[in-house]
Amino acid sequence: MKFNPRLLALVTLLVVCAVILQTVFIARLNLPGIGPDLLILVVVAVGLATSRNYGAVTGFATGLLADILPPDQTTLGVTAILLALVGYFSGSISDPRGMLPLQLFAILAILTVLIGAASVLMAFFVEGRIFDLEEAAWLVLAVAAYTSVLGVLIVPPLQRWLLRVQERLSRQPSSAEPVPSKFSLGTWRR
Amino acid sequence: MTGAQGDGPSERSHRNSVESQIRVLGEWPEEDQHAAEQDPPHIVGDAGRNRGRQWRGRRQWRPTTVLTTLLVVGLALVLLDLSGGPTQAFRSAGHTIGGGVQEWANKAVGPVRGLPQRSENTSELTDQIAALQARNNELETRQSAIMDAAATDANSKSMRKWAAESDIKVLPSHVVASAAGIAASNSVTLDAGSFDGVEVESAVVANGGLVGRIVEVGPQTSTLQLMTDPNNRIWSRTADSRAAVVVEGTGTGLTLGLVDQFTKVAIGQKVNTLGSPGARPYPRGLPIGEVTAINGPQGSLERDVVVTPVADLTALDIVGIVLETDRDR
Repeated sequence: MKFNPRLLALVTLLVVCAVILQTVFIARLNLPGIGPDLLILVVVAVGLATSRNYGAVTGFATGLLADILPPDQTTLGVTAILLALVGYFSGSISDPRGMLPLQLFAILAILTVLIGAASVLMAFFVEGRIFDLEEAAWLVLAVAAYTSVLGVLIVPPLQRWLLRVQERLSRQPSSAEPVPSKFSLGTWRR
Repeated sequence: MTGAQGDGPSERSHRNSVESQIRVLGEWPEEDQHAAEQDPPHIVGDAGRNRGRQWRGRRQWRPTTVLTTLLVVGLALVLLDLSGGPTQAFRSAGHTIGGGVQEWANKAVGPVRGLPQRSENTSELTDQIAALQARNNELETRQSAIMDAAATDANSKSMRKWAAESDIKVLPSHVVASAAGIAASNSVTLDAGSFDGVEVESAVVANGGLVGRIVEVGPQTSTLQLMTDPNNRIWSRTADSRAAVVVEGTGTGLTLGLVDQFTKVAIGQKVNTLGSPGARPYPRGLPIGEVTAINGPQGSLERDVVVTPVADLTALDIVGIVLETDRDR
């Protein structure tokens, strides 16, 4: 993929907005079961619209930001590792335009449950935090439900937006040969 | 799908596209690596071919290499942080910048969040409420100290004198952000920091009850750990029987850790702080909560005593940070 400053700026903006909104808005709505995880949604959208590399790096940066930001200062790098995996995974999914809402829902639900469980385990083993396991399990499921419902609504538009930004660059007359107007996605990303 | 367009895709690329559409999530280590070096990516159609040409000349990082590097860096950070390495600088930077951004974002987002209530959102009224609540916090804190002193020893004039004279100053502060996530600690960001005189290990009150304590201070913001955090334990006393107990956070609520099996607890009993040396973090006699349920047999240490906090910890907005208390008690 060519370096695209506009894409980079857009992704940075998305990530910062998601991290801030998560702590300032979502966490303070006092919804039963915390609420949706915007970070996972943004990382998945970026991964689907770009590549494995882009997704993994975006996930890592997002997680690092979330780790550093107050009030909850988790051990540096824990969220970064988890979200880097999410970005890599979603970056390796091909043909996102053909994805049914149900497929997206299932992928998001599974990802959120895995990430939630992993973060609880990490907090338990790395930081020695105590959890009521049953309560934590319900929270994981509630967050997964919120995230996948919201994700079905906002991931496809985000993804289309990111793709359009990429497409605009590939249309620019920088390459010698005429570039086809239709941006077709690969099957397996290299 | 993509194989249909373009001028006559070769059999191999067609097979590849079909296969990879079927095995969306699999991993092909050997083919993956060879293809990245030798072949253009087997994307069919014109755009795909162009893309392949563009890629040939550029150096391409292999995804597995990138991911491995990120994971190693992440693990190194975890280990550095756990061993108390130089990562503290990152954190304070995060607190300085992140706290500021949160404070600003809270102002932007606050009206949106407050829409359901649709109360008068004028800044004047909000300020008035803030001032009144702060004053209220201050008075209630002082009153509870007086009540506690009176209950402790009616004969001891010095004690009462202390309570009357104890100059508890409370700084009003807004909650600007909460910890998000399943494994998150129970903590919030406040918009007052070291410039306002906030110190680490200060008690925080709201609506006449203890909320928690300050665990980290930045220049403009500070982090308040709620008393419901599972790592939190507060030495306390039941208000009437004067039994020493430990209030423990459970993540969502509070329980009473009993010191011995004969400790008398009853529903409706109030629980106050026992007080810490130098009144840090907790001054003595701050109301924590009320016993609302007792599960388990009498006379066992396994009794699960539920304490409901006086302050509503789920809807915190304006809180008071206890700045000064009598230190030479």
